Amino acid sequence: MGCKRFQKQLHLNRHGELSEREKRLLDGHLENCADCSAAAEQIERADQSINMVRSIQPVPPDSLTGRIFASIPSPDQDMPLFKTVRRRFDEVIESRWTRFGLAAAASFAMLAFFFQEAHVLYRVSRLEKRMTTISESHTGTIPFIQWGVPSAVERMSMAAQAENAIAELPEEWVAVRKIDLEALVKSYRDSRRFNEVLLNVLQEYRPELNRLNDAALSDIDGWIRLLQQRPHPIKPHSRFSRNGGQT
Amino acid sequence: MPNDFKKDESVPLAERELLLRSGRGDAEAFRLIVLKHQAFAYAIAMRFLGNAADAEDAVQEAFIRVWKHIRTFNADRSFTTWLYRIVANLCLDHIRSAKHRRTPVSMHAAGPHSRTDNPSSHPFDGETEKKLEERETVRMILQWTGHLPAKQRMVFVLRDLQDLSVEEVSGILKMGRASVKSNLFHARKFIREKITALEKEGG
Repeated sequence: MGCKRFQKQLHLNRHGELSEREKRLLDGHLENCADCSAAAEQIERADQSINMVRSIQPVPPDSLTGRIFASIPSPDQDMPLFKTVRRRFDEVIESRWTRFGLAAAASFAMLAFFFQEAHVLYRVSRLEKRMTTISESHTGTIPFIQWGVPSAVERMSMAAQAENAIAELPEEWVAVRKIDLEALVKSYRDSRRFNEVLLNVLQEYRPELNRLNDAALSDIDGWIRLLQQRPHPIKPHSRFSRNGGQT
Repeated sequence: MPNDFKKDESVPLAERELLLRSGRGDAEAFRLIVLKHQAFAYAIAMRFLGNAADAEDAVQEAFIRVWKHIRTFNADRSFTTWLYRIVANLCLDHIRSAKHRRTPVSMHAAGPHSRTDNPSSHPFDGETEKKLEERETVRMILQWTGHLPAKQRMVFVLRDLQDLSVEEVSGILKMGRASVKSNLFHARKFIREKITALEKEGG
């Protein structure tokens, strides 16, 4: 018959599986070859049965969706934002190049962070000790008021300033010393937040401070006014160190 | 990899939005995706595996995997290619592991089309008899499908029973077009010859 090479084409001759050229060649052959023509008819008949199978699609049971959802971990409804942020973060993390970059950056950042953190913790621990031995004298130094997000180096010096300033507070300033250390450490990162904390503490404990002498009281009132007027002090990195409370 | 996840320009915006939301952990968006795609995924698994319990397992597992990895899925790509690939791989894994567990069982033996006796022996009218014959043919084709080697069976199911294009099948199975066609040829030849033989036997 010499038709073997057309056998494959015969079976592939459905929707777009043959190129135009292949199809032309096959059609030409079918016109001249009774055997192949008969085979093609047979295939067409057989395909009617296959079409029948295709027209009956299996339908999943109604319970399938429920089954799927019973087995997937449901997202935490309490903290959608947190989840979202974490997922977004994971997404970035999971890209390969981000991982390489992050691995390098993370090792460096971790070293820097630990060094810095260790230093701050050391200072805070010293601060704690010194707070138990604060002198009676009152210098009127505002702990610090600074604008902007401080750099690592600035954080270091701010930690030192805060430490010194609080160390200089008189013993009667129990309230101010109630600024918890955690808030203080946070304030190294954000001076605006520190100012807010300071203002809140001063306002809240103002009545308790009546035992202080007049100079100290007017000092505190001056600070409250200052903090109220200028949540952001005038210029970056400006620090206030002044005596007396006159405005 | 020319076949690997061709960029799909036709992704409807709504679907894209659902995929992005699912990626952010929105279970309601994911539910809509499951509702939309589970029937076709189930049909593939059912055709390939031949029984409802295994097909349900495969689809369930496929969607669990999708949910786990959906946040890394690029919503501009074809979601169905990805989903069907997971389903196909699970099905292929299943029969590979099933081979070791038990001897090949008669595919599609159970189910609505499980009659094996000769329908012409029943005193039904012509219409019913024709329907019964058709049913029997469908059942036989599904059974023969179960006898095909795994790759041929998957290509045949996706292309001829589920009517996906050669390009789609090629993308889902990460298989070259030539290879898809070759598997398709052998599968069709086998099934068509069986059908022809059955027809001759019957008439």
